[in-house]
Amino acid sequence: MSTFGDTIGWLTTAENWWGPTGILQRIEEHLQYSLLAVGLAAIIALPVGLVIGHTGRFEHGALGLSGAARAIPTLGLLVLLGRWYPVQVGPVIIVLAVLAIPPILANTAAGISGVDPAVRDAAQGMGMTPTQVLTRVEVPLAAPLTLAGIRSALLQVIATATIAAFAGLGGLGRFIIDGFAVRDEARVYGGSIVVAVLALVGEGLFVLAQRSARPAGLRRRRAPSPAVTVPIPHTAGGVST
Amino acid sequence: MKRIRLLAAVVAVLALVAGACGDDDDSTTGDDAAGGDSAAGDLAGQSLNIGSANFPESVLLAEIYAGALEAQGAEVNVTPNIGSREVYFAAIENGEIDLLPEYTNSLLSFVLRQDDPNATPDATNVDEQVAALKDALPDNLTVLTPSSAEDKDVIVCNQDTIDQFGFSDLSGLAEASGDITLGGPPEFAERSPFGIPGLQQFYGAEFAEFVPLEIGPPIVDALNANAINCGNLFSTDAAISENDFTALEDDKNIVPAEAVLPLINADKATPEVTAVLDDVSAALDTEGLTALNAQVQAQGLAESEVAAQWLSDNGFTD
Repeated sequence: MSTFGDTIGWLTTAENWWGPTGILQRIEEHLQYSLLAVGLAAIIALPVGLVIGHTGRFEHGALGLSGAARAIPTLGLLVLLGRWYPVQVGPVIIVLAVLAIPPILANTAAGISGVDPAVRDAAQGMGMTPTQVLTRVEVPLAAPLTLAGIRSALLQVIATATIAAFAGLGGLGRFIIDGFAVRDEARVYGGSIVVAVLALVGEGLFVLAQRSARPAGLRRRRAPSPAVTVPIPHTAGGVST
Repeated sequence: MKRIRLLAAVVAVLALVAGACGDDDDSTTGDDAAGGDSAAGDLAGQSLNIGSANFPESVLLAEIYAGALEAQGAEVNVTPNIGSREVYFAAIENGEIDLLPEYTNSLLSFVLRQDDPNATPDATNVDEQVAALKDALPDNLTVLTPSSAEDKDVIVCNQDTIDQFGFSDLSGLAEASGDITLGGPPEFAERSPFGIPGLQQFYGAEFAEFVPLEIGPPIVDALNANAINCGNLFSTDAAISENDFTALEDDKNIVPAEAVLPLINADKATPEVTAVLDDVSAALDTEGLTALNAQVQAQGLAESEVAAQWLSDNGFTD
């Protein structure tokens, strides 16, 4: 049998999908780890990104630091934390959040600081308080870029959450690691395909969410897209839409 | 016709290996000349790719084989930590690897299962196992004389679990198994007799949970953190006594003898190579192997370093 045929066979066997070690259960675990990690990353990165973007202070330091954090090897950090907290979900969530913080932080800061100064002036001229300027003007205008950051973080985290299996936990990585241990290639490839599809579906759902998050004032315009109309000065990397 | 093609393939692989090793000649000749004064040079011109499974003792044994052969003038190339037996056996079967440290029963069970997924070895003592292995291995592979060193799979439990349940053998573990979380390598979940299916079949165990973890530090850490009650380690693991774990007796003998022996590509098992590896096997014993493991695990020395010291202590190198 060809590996391709075996893999299709594995994916289309009903009993591989159901039960406590089935694909559906592993998808649920995989999404749990991923969403918890991106949620934790957002709780940290969104406020920090807002402050940095709004004040323009610490821009180089914070963005540089978060950029450098991308160099941390996720698996290495997991092995390290796993020595102290073996077979626990905490280390997995933390290492995945470390992966998710830089894109969210960089995009949020870039989105806020990239708001046209004339727009900000106009808002102040209309009598808005600084808080109102932030929440009613800057945040909505930055939303598409911020969401793009979360989207790229989620994509990366879903694709990487297979490492939970190294810590003795579940998730779709189980199929890759267990399949490799017993040399069941169909399971390894089948599991990998499910991870990739899950990441792409998550990406697709986010594209839809991003569209609805585009400020109404910008949405009416046909072209160009807001990511292009909003000038983004002095932002090194991390900006993707 | 098929045989001729196979032969041609083997020759081609050997030519490639020889060519690849030939490229390295220049860089290593100096070392060999310096360290090889007393070496008879019996193995000059012979080259071996030595591999190991993905746990420290296997790496250590591979380094010992490599060091002993190198001291006699062979070209050696060590690929440690290839993976589980399922993975590295394919590598030695297709000629990427020539020599691996193995264990009599685990290897025999594995080889028999290649033909029949439900096969279990009849052989339980080492002599029977070796005879059965020579019979069952593919023609291009063979095993050499086993050493007295034995490293069995064993289920160990942490002190809290023993205090709570008070069992000392696998039958006792099986009775309490509904409350036991067991750790073992991923393949443990699917193999028999020593695995979840075997423990169920022979002892009637139904564990509350199985946590897949690599044998070695991950299982030791999980035991110490009470993340698992019991786990699969090797009997020569120094961590068992260091952490006051209790090794459970296999009262129904589902884990047969596991003597250490070299698994080798038959073409590479020349009389000279065989003689060197037989000497190594004769010098190894279970206590010695446990002590060597302790140096790697507890003192954090590199496998190659520990192997070099052992080879020197036992007169294989200067």
